[in-house]
Amino acid sequence: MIMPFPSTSILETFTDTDGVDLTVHSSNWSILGASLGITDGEIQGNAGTESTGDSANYWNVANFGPDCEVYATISTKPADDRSSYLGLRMKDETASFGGYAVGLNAFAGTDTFGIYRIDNAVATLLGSAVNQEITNGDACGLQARSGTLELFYKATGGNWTSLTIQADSTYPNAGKIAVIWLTNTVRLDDFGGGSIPEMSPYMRRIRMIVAAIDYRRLNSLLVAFFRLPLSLRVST
Amino acid sequence: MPIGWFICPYKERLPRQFIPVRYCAMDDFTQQILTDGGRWSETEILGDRAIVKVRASLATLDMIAAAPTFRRIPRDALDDSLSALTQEQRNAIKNEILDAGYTPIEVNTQFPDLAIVRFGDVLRFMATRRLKPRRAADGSIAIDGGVQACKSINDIDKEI
Repeated sequence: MIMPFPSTSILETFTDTDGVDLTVHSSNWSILGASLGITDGEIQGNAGTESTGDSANYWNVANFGPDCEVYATISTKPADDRSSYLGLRMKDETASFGGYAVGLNAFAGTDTFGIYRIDNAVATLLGSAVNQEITNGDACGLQARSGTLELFYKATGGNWTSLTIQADSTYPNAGKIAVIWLTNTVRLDDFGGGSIPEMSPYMRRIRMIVAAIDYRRLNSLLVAFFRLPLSLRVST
Repeated sequence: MPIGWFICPYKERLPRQFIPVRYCAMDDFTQQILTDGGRWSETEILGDRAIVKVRASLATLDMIAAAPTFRRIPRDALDDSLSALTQEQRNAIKNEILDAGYTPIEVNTQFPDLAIVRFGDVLRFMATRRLKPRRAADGSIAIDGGVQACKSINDIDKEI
């Protein structure tokens, strides 16, 4: 990983009376789809709204970016076959919102993360989803730098690691960061994000090289390389 | 490891949620491709479909090509000429372009004779535009928004 993640501070810990709407809790939040509530100091979709499931809010304090990031702790993961998103570069804070998001998808099998482009409230997966079982307490985030988007994941008590990088240039400008469509099962905490320093041309070039590396292939080559002398030593 | 170029549709991930989710159908083969030590990259194009370059084993490429709604384009290098293809194969490519939503006038103007065209030129033409999706009032996905640029074929080619 070339740049540390995250490089911005936590903005919201959702400390308030359970059930308070997020927009009542703080004027820093505005409704993206419908308001959220507060439960146990964490975001929760409004009780009983899973059937409509349109809870989403954005941090209205400023536009961030174009180079920016968003992240949160997954205190309770979504129910199976449900997803939640953390968005950045979000535009049109209405029902036709768009931008980019990291999606956390819970399944009866292995859970997945993905980088999504959101157009008029439709999410399109960029490239492939990444298998990663989600455990309560894990964290995820998304960082946008110029035309690349990098998905980060942190297991409980672990370190941030990069899961995948995708390229897209549909939304190149600054926008809002947001929490999108939270079911009444999922709970997020320690929401953070904001603008990040623009990368120097030198660092941008290194990042492009790193993004192009096929890590699986590199790993298999390294394993093959280091096993060979070991096997020779054993045989002699 | 061999490569292949495909045209495949987008699919909606079900059950539908408030924010409907679509994904390139190549993702259904991701695990097999990764098992081979391969990878893939896509660019969305007109007609709710994508051009995808895949690096995988021959068996996996054949399996993908046999999947319904997937079409493997019978060329590998962007500089390859389409002259080596049969007229039937060239017609199939032309029909694919028309099915995606390009008009016959556009196609005939751009490619009066596909036999003298390079493979890469066809892919670059197909990746000249796409339409922005939107969530329709009934919660379904409609692909009828504004014209958007596509990720470049050269970038896809370099990635895989």
